[in-house]
Amino acid sequence: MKPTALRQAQIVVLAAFAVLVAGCAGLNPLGVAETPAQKAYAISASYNIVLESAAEIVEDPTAPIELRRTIQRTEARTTPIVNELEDAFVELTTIRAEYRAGQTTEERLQLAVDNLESWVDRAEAALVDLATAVKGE
Amino acid sequence: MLQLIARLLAVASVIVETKTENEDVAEILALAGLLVRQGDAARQKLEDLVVQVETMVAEDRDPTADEMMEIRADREALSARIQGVDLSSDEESGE
Repeated sequence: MKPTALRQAQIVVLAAFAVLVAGCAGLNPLGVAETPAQKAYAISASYNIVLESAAEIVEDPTAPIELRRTIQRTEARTTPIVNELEDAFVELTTIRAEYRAGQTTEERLQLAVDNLESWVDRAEAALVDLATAVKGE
Repeated sequence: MLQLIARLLAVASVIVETKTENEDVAEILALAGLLVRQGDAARQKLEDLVVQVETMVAEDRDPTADEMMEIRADREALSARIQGVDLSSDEESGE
């Protein structure tokens, strides 16, 4: 990727980053989501959008090596957090089905909802961490 | 443009760190809007994602496990691309 393309990729990430964290309902998937599961989906998919730009930069041999290393290190730390978010979503889906079938308690269902909401917060922070790494200086 | 980006980042960082709402929110939204209006693939993907989530809300449903796992598969591929690049050598530099 040429330096200009690198800059464009960074701009792309910045735009995504800014929109996501600023609470703009117009282009903020998280802002339109209502349920914890919808928020999980919004964050997970948004993270992928940033990750695509991150991959382009890391694979670009003309990009500054420290920037590429920082993104690589950050990604190794943040992606598992977003994966945990999805695991919490799957767990909630399973427990919700059990609850509807009368096989588990409302308390257990609420615990699963609370757990997912907790991972939504952590994944949102991971998204910001990755976007911050990608922005470079 | 680079000065604009730097300013945007500075404001965004403050907002993220403090998680408070203030007049800078309006400023960052205006700046973000300016960047977003330039048009790019990420913007389109964000727009598509917003529509997807809005549709879920309108249909009063949560994402399915299959929808979430599709995202997971895409991410695993992207992560493998990132971690598959060997950056251990100092010679691997475009500077």
